[in-house]
Amino acid sequence: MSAPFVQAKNLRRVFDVSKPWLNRVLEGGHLEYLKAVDGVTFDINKGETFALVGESGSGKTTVARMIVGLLPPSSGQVLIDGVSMTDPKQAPARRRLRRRIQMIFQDPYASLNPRFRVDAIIAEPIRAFDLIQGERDIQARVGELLSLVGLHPDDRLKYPHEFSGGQRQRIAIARALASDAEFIVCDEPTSALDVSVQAQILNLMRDLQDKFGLTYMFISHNLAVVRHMATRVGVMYLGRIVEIAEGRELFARPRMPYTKMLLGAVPDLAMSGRQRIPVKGEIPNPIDPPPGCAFNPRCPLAFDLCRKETPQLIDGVACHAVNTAPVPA
Amino acid sequence: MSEAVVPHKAEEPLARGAAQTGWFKRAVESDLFYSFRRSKITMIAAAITLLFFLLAVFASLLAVQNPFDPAQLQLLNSRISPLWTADGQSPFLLGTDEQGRDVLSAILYGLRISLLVGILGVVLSGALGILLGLTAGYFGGAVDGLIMRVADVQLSFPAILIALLINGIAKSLLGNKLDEMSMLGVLVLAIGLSFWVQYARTVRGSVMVEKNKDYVAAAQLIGLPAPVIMLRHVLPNTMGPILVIATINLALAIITEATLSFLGSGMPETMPSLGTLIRIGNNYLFAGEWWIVAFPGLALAILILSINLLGDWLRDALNPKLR
Repeated sequence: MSAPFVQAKNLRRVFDVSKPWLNRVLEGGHLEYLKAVDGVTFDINKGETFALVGESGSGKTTVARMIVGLLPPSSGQVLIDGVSMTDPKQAPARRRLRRRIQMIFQDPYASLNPRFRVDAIIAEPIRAFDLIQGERDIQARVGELLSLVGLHPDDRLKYPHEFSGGQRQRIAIARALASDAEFIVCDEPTSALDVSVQAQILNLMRDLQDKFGLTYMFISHNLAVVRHMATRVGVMYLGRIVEIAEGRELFARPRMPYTKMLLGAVPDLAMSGRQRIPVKGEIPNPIDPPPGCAFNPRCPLAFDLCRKETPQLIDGVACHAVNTAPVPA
Repeated sequence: MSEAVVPHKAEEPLARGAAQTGWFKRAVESDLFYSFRRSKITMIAAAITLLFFLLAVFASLLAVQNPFDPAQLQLLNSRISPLWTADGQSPFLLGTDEQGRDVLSAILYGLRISLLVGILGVVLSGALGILLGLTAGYFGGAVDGLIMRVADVQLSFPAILIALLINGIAKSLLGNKLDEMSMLGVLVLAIGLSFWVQYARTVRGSVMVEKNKDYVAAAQLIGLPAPVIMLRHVLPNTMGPILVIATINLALAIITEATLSFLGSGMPETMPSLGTLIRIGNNYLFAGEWWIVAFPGLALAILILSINLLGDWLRDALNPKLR
């Protein structure tokens, strides 16, 4: 098998959250940095759906923005189809690559320009990459894309405010497909929608994946959605990937205590009465993370080593308890 | 868990129907037009403002003489009181001044100068302010710091002082070469350079909100250059507040021009604006020739009031929190 389609190598992103210079001088205080993402590495193969799950503030969205190139990483690199998203020398190759990468955003009320008509929104990538010449052909393509996502071709003459949240997300998907994208990063595409509409959007995305062989990177905090969509799942905690596994494997046999806790928090309708690990505590402040494994204050299995040393991702799990000693199931 | 995800069920109702609506119909059905129709004062103010604009545009057709042309003025006709008084003479409806200039004609032509200076001043200050505000808001950092500090410094001087300063510099540079038209240009420049700060601050604020929205990220994603994103995506979404400021600033610009002219550093008497007319008339007020100052003053006051009322309405109508 050739190299993976998307490779994230040791991605790190640090934000400067210090007070302004003048305040630091007058009030005292020092530079403060927030490690949003720290050493994230993963591969995505062509045609698969890679999901990143985690609580709010775990750095999922930051990873997504670095992958598509909206945010430069502090260190590490992203390779898509062998082209670096950061190397200035590969800028021409990156320009050609850009057409093939698209993103679907969380809030469909903010991701469509309210002053643009739907046809202008969808046709913008077509025009930007000069894919189709002639206004008539562009309009025909826009109508085709709208029917593809389950809207009517005449909807292209309306404005975004005339649509519901689910319909807007369909428009966003149509825009993402407009440039014949192959890799689509979906940043919580359904979390702003109500449950009945979520399912329709997810099914639409799966249908489109089958039809066009799309590769998805799927960001979500909703495990039910991830289970429905993902072929492979990475679990993030405080800027690090703590467990990475095949989707089915992860849901059947979670290994990292944090993953177990997350899965334990998912409500189930069957009332199976299964044992759950209750969620305790909250995600720590990323400006001042606990020493060692960031999860140790909440972890039921934590021991001395966890408070001293940050665990490395070995065999898909970053956990001292799992990696050093066999854990009683 | 997967039970929560319903496979292909009812599709969402498709949005269809009246897809093609003309811009005129949309304008008539808009919230803005609705609130316009509900406010009598606004409608009157709009009508008066429109009337003044029409009077200014068609001044040469309406006036009995061209007050800027000395050949048409006759000293014999000087200081005639308005038509309805005992000494009134035809065609001078509002009387004449000491040079035999018909006051009504002078007002019509003066209105033209005042509105021209006001509008050009607003356009200049708006263009400057929007450009600087967009740049500051979009790029942030040191660029933002530099532009906004300049704005802060400028804001600590009254606008009229800056206008006077620019005027004084222009006069000392150009001296006698300063004819009527270049004086008009200097006034526009003075007003433009003293009113840009408000635009810049407002635009910067809106841009900082808008640029973090996902539609801007979506535009960056397809590799559009920053100027295109700023002008095509960000700017149109900040137009509401700009429109309000422009309307209110039009009134302010006209007043500033009138003030400068009244103080003698604005339009000369050979090509008077409303402010110049008031200054001329002021000299005759206590000699009993009240009409020379009263009518230009009244015209200016009504114009400013109407524009300000329009601006107030626009501000309220575009601010969803006040609805």
